[in-house]
Amino acid sequence: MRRWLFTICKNVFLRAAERERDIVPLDGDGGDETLAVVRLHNELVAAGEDGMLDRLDVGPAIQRALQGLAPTFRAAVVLVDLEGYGYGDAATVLGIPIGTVRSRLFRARRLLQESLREYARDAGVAPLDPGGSAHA
Amino acid sequence: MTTTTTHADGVATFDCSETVRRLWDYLDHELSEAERHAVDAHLADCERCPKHFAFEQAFLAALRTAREERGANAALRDRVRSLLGLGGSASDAEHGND
Repeated sequence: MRRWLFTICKNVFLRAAERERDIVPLDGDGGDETLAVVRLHNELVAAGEDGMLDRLDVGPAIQRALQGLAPTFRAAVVLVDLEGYGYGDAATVLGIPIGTVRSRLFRARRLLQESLREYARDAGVAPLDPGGSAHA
Repeated sequence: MTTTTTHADGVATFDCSETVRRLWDYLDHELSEAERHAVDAHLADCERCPKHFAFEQAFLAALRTAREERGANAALRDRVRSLLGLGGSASDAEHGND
């Protein structure tokens, strides 16, 4: 059953990847991604948007954000966050090293957060407490 | 380069950068025990990182909400198939088509 599910997931993701071919290159050592995730959080705090998740209808917001991800990043998020796979199992499904799962997940989640921020702004979810303390 | 410090009590801890680099691994329970302890030690001392971690934890919880809704949709699909007399589940149908 589990092996069958692995095969189904892998085929679906490979087909999606072939169709779209909009793969974004990953950073070498993840250092830029670490800075980017800190920067994004700082921006959210400074704009009073770090509480946006409490004020959003997150289901549709996340679905829309997921659709905006490149297939390789979406695959990592779907397997780990939506289907509950561990990194090792996700690596097996996708046929990639576990480190690649880790780096794709790192970037994918940041991209999702950026997309959610846009969604929140479009939805008119106003910041409640602008000017909070940011992480330097 | 990994920056770790060992306190006088022998507990290793990371700096902010190393801690944030392990942010998702920590929240996904994918860290080794030693790394988890080092992150915990940093979070206990740092004023800023815990707020960042709390935000990311809320984000993961939101994603889990989407997972639950996804599960509910699958159950609904199966129920509709059942009511239509199609038998089996949506996932079974996908299996048959593969």
